[in-house]
Amino acid sequence: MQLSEKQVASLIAQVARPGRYTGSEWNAAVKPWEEARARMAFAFPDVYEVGMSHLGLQILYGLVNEKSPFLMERVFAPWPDMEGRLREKGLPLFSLESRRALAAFEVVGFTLQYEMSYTNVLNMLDLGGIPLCSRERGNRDPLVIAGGPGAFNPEPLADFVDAFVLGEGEEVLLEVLETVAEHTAGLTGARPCFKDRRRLLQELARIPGVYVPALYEVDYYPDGRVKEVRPRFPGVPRRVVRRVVKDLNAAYFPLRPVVPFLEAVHDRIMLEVFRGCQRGCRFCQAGMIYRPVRERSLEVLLRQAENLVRSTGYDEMSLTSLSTGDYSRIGELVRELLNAYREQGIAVSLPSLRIDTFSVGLAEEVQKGRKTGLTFAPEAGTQRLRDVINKGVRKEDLLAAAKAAFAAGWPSVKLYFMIGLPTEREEDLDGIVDLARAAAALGSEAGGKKGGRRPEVTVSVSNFVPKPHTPFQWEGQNPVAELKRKQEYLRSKLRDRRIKYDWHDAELSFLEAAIARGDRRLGAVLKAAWQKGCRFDGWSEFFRPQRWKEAFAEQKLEAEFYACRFIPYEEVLPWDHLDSGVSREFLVEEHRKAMQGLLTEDCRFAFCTGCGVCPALDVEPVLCRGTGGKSEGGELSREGEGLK
Amino acid sequence: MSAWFRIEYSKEGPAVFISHLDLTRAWERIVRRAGLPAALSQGYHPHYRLSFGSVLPVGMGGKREYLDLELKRDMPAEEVGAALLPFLPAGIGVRQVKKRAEKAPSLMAQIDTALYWMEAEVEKEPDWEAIWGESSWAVKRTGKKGEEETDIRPGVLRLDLQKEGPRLCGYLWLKTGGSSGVRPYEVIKFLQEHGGMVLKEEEEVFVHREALFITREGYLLSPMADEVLWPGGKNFG
Repeated sequence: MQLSEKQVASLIAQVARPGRYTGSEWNAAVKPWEEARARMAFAFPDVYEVGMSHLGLQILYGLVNEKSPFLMERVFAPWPDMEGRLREKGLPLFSLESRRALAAFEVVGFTLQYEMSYTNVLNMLDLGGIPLCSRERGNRDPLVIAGGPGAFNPEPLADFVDAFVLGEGEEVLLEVLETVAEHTAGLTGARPCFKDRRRLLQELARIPGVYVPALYEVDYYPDGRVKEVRPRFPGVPRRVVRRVVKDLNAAYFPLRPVVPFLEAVHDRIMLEVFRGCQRGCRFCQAGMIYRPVRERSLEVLLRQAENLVRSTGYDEMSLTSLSTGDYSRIGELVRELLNAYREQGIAVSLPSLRIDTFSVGLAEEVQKGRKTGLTFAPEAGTQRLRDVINKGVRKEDLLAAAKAAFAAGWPSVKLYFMIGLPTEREEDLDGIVDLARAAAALGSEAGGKKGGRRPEVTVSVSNFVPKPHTPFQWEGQNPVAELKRKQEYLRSKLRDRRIKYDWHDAELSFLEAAIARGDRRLGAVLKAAWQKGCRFDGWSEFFRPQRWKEAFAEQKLEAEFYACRFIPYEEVLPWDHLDSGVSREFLVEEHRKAMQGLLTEDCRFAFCTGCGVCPALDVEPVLCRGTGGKSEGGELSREGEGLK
Repeated sequence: MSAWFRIEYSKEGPAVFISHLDLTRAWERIVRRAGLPAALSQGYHPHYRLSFGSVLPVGMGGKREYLDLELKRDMPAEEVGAALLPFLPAGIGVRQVKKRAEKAPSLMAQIDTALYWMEAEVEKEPDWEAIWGESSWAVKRTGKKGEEETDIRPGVLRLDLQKEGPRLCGYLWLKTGGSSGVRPYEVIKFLQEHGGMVLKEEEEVFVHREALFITREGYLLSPMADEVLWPGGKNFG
């Protein structure tokens, strides 16, 4: 079904921000529907402004539309007002480009960036006219696939998604679409037409990196632990191994990204300087599942920047990665970009910086005009706990960085911490307070001298969530009551005019953990929660923990079992058959070292840590160490030594 | 030497749902993509010197809308237009570009009259004699002090509406901007509430802005031209 312009106009005339649903942005693709060999909707389970900030969408959208005989359109979760309009008018959720119902596409692909967007996945399927459960779909229904970090434990969505893609989508997606095209009987009509859906699924499972959950049987012990996950048919791989781009310089990168009219959360050029992070923070899933570090060369980045400036018209360029300050030639890159674009009024921003004075210097170089705030993430309050989580930051580094920031004129510094980390004790909470106060004191000193506005320290505290494929995957989360007690403790200790304190909703973190470590049985809970009206759970205005409690209770499951339990190494994890490339032995070893407070260094600066990624995926770290860039080369090795 | 240019553009089709703030940003990006040497403002966050005319409500299209743009150096107006054309998103069109005087009052301050096209399927036409007989057209308007009654009659210059089959369509000439400005939906509401007009069920009124004018000595001028385009403005009302 295709909606007319008039239907769309009438639908969106009364909703907030109608620009979320109009499409037709600059660089949006207009590919003829009939000529494509297979048609895919990229479905982002959050609102437009969030989804359009996602680089992965731009990469896959550009790749499919520019470089393949297939076609990709976009769809985002409709805001509740728009959902109301659609349901009231009996119209389906439609794509931005051709305004077709989701059910018209051969493939609907979700990206799983956040556990609390899963109810939106269900809602979008339902609104799009697609049977909710995989087993209810036939040859005339789309293939529903999903990727992103959530695919590394996709079990809670196993009932609803036909196939998951593990790893970097640009490596796999065209193979998936090719297989889909080969199994398509006809491209006419308002719905897809597969020859034999079951064969298609089996065929997809043969593509490395593709996981088809229906082809696996999960056995449980009576107490709910997973006993075994095994293929149901011969030829189905026991383990599915993640796909990875080996050479980022050669990989496709979109040079004509879609430029939204609405202000997206990240409304700027995203220049991806590298992928992966090897710092090895033990709580961090991204630091495990995107290994190894693969840098783009300076030349490629400068060329891409030039193209992107011309093709988008943005006035800001963000150097994105998991830890941009770690780019081997960051100083050179920043200076070259500033020289090339400052005249045109184009700013450069660095979203993720290390905690050191070199980084503060860099931040000052790129700062355009008024300084607003600088953010550091020490994550834990004491050296002992920072060693446990392998965050190689010392108190002196942090205070020196804060001092440099205040001296350079920043009026505020934001510090990110996490509570509920493994082995945490009261003194670690006091450590947060001490660091915040020490930073605030430095601010007062600097502010006093200049006689300007009193500098401010913001302490932002999140809750530890154990994530699959990390050394802390076996750790239990603190119960909600304990997290709340700790939050309250910090609040009472951080009553200080110079310090602002904010914290995350403990109930939300609890559900994140339950879903992150969930098994297949959570599918019924997700469905029940969605039926009770859960949508946009990550948005505080829509989050209703009570509905989730009821959903768990109805299914006779306990969220605590998933979130708070300490799991022994021997136990089968619901995601054990999914292989990120990082070996289980390494994760166990890292967990043991954490308990002893021992650090593991980034293999860029020291020996191979034996994480297993390189041999398992046949890759290696790619660094663009240049001849120049003396200063940052020196910085890196200095910090490397500091960690020892 | 810097130079100011006035651009007459259209905002139609898929672009009608772009809010004014988003449109401002979109124009900055168009100018940057076109590679025009736009002048930058001073201050912490330098931005392009773009100055818009009357703001279109979200959802309404405009055939002749205006903006002024300052470039760092002078160039022929046709070149500015030609540079912009390949970089316009769907629904935005450039109709004309002309050089503007160095010092000129802002578009916002000058534009005071708007011409709208409206059409809707109606079951009952307004009782024109009765309405024109009323000296005051009271409409509720939400202002700073909450809901207030406002007389929109002085801002309604002329209504050229005709019944064509089941449809009522034609032009609304209204004052725009400032305290005497009237919105087309206020007129439609008044016609429904006080003029006896009845819309067909579930019918949504289509309104499109056709043109904007500057009144000078009783004549309506296009912001693009110095000559009189629509003589007779004096007779309105």
